[in-house]
Amino acid sequence: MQESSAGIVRLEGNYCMVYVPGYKNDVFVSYAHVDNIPLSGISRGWVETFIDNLSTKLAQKIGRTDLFKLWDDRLLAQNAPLTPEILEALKGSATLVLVLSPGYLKSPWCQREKNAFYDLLRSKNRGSNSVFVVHRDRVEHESCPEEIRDLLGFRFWEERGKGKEPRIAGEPVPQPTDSLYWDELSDLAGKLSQSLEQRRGSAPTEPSSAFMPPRDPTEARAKRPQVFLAEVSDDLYKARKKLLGALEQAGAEVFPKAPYPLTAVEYEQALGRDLGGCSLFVQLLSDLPGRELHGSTKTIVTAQLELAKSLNKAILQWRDRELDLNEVEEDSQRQILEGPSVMAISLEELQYEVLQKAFPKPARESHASLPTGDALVFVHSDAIDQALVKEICVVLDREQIGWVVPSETESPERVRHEFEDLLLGCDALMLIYGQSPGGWVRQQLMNCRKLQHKRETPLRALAVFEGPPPANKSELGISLPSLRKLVCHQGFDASRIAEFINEVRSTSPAA
Amino acid sequence: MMPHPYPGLRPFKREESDIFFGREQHVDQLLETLCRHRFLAVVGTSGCGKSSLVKAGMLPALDAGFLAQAGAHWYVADLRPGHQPMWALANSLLVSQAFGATRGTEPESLALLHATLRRGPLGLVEALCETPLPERANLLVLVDQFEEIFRYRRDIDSQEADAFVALLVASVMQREINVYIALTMRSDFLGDCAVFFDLPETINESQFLAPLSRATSVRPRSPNRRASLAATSSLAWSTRC
Repeated sequence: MQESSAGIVRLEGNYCMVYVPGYKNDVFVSYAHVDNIPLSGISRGWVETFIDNLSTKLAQKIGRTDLFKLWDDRLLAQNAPLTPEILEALKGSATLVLVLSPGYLKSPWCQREKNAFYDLLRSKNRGSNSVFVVHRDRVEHESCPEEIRDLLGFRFWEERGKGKEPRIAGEPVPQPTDSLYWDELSDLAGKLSQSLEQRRGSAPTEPSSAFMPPRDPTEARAKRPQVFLAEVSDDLYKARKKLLGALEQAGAEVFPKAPYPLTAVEYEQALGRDLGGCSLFVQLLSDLPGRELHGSTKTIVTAQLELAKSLNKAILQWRDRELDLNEVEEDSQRQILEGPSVMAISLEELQYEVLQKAFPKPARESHASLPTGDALVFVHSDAIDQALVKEICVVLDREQIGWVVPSETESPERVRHEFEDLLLGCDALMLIYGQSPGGWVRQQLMNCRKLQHKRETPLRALAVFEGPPPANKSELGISLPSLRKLVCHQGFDASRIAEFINEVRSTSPAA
Repeated sequence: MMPHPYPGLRPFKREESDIFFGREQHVDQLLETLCRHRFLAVVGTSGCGKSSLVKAGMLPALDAGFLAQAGAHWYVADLRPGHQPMWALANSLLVSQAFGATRGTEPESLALLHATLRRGPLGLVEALCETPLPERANLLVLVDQFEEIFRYRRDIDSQEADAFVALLVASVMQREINVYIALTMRSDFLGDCAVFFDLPETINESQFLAPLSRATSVRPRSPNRRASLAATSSLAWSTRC
């Protein structure tokens, strides 16, 4: 039976063009024919179906069905040698998808193809994120060629218990309910489309985020939260994948982007390089200690955690709440599981915690349109003191200082929201204490203090303007360190607010 | 022509707005809440007319462009959580035609959309980034009988229930894509909302407590009159033919 790969298929339509300029193909799919032999009673092979579904999803990701080309070998003769046509296709492909299986590894043909492709990659000095490995079946880590071990992989199989062959997702045909198959296929399409976009020179498409406000794409990339989602033992692959999907969907940059080499020195170097820039370290734990590093007594779990602690990273650790710690065989692993930062919660709860840490919640929607300018004073009064407000605003105008007053609204919700928005958006606050009750002023100061922590910077100035009438003014009964009282009981005096204006003009915030 | 002006015990349907009378003020309040928060929870006792109010009152008002800020182009994904909330959502989205011809209704399209929705709280946003809505169009996800999610969470799959609710909440926290969420729920389940992150806060600011459909509010003379008019016009047409 021929165990070959590579070839060509063209997408339907006469206008099929490459998506990435400078290449003849966007995606080259390399696989072993043995993996594409249809089972009895099935009309199409696994790889053929896979490629069709990948094409569909990729078209959705890229947004055009007629703008990318994808190679496989359906149109080539089964016994065709590594023809110049195939080599040409390899040379001219922007990305490669390897469908890895025991059959693929046994095929010298595929090996030659792979070597040729890597030679081409090296000669073009491109990064490794143009090669994606589809793990169609279980292949022991040690059996994998070195070139493949550390590439980004997508696992289309899962364990069925000890002594049993793994289940291959999508076999014999993918059922709509086979979530493993569709999840991995979608993730692969997402990574492929990002790679194609990067090679095309356009900004990577990122989903708009509920956790991060939209920004200029360049700025967005620079400010994306960086999260280290530690490599896990095999049994937690799906859990990590789920968390990874949610983080990437929200706009985070997640490390590691591909597995590290398992040699201790290389592993720790790579780990340090990636972890250094991350603000958050997330580690999923089970009773398994994970792979041991070569040339060290550490496992990947302990090496990751030790470095995160030494770098003082914010740490979130998780274990399944059903896990019985008494049944954990390895003492060192049990100690880690018993650590104070390990949360025994559901995966959805963990996802929520991680997203909250990585993306602090944005402020509620603003209901007030704020004037812009160098300095903005929020002049706040009860309705009864509107006349004083007008006089003060005239002075502020004269001094070329911006001011804002609340709009007239009757909805309690709007009143409160507007107060919050104005307080958060202004540079200084002046409360007018004329005919209004002292309790009103006092409550505003309390509210101001309550919201102070939401401001990015403290107020430059905070004052209570005590205007006429002089009689019946009760003591406010509140004192704040930065509060200034401007006393004008006998009538409006513009000079009394000069000091306040100086404070507003100063660039340094009030203490 | 409508067969008769009263649908009986079942809720009014979207296409029965012509026999749905007397709740314009409530509809206005729903639209205002929906406009402000992009999220609306219509809560009330069993049989008080929540679904009718939304389907025969609010949806036609949306189509009529009464939510001027959003325009009159609406896709409505109408679902009940049932036993498979994420599948129900994926299916209703495809049926709503919000994705146009780009995504068909064949099983593969459904499975791919389901995978995208399950990927994280922004699954719906991601799907709409991949296949954008037409310009000035909006998507309303209407989750009728939302209380079904509590039983699903308790008896079947708490993870998926949590993911489903997280997706609804996150979809309206963003503002770049025109997604609106409306749900109807029996008021005796209101306290159960606390099991979901961010849902109580979201409902607190966007809740509409549906009053009972009393005779005084539905003005029963109106549907009769409408039926009478329809019968007259039909008769006239028959005579002409």
